[in-house]
Amino acid sequence: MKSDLELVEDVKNGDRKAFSELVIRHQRPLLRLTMRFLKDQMLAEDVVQESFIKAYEKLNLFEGRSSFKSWLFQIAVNTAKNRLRSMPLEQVNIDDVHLGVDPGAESQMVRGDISKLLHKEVDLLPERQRIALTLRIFEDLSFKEIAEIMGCPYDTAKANYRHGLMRLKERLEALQGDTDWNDFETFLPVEGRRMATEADQ
Amino acid sequence: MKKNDEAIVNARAKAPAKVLEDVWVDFVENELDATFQEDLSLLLVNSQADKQQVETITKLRDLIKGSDDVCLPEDGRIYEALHDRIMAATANMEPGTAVREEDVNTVRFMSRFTRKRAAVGASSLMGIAVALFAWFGANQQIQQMSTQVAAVQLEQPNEAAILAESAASGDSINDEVLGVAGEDEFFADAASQKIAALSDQDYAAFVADLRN
Repeated sequence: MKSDLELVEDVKNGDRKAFSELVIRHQRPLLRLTMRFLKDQMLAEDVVQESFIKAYEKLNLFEGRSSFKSWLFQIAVNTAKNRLRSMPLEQVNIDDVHLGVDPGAESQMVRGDISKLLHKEVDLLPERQRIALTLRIFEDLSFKEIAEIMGCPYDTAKANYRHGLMRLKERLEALQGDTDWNDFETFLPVEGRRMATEADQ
Repeated sequence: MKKNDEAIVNARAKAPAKVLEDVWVDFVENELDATFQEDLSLLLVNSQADKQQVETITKLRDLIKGSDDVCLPEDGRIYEALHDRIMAATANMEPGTAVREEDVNTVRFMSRFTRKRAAVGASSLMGIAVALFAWFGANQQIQQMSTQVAAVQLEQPNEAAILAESAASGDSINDEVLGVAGEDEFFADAASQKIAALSDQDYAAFVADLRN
């Protein structure tokens, strides 16, 4: 099986099949990544398509200093960011907003809907922190790859990730009060619980 | 190993909390060099507070990871369709035809530079033209003024000639030439002359009148 770099060279020499192979190889991870940012499959598919077209056009600019995957992800992240900026802001009807009366309601909400809350908090992070956190935790990329995708130095990518993680920690602690972090474990899905146990070990 | 432990404990005492938190994040991410990672593992055995911090970071990370709700479609036809769309969109395109960003920037810079130079040149020419115009205008005005002054000088006979003429003719001196004192000035002069002519006795009476 040919490597990405070999396929890229073939595409540059006019081999369309090589490009088809690159699309097949990377379209799923790219779709997953764009779905994280756009939260909509159709939009994400559009961005994936646009990213591949841009990559095809700019193939002469790819020098192989980073991996093809990182380069492609960089194009996809920037395309998704531009798409998000061009989208109108979501509006909330004031009548739909319910104010909590019970002092324990917030705590119960956090316990009951921790995943949604975490997603909301991740979305509220500054853009660069959110991207670094998403690429690291959800996509399991190394900081070197994250730095390549974000187009920033290695230490900056790491600092963005750290700040994002610490901000989430502060937010959860503020919402939870003095609750023990071990209480959260019961809200983890099986996979998460398994990972937590492994980490403890 | 014990020496290492002590060194880390000492370093911990000196380091601000923020740095430590960052170090523990790097520890959880396995981003530290192997020796330091091992040293910190040893520190964790003895320090409950640090252990707690590492556990918190690890659990938070797992919570975020566990909250992943992105589900990729399983239907293979979606990917086939996406692949076909991409291939169709690039069918009539040449690979790698994009212009390098730096080249675009260079072209932009050059055109901007040329435009800027043209603008500077045009404004300089305009400035020179305005300066020349102003110089010609001022020059013309000065010439006009000197002509007018000369004409006035020619029209008006000089003062000495007028005085000589009036002295010869025996007429009163022209007010226009000698100037006219105002009415107040005239009465003040008359009063001062009169007061000067008063005897001491009359002057004292006059002053007493004024006081009363």
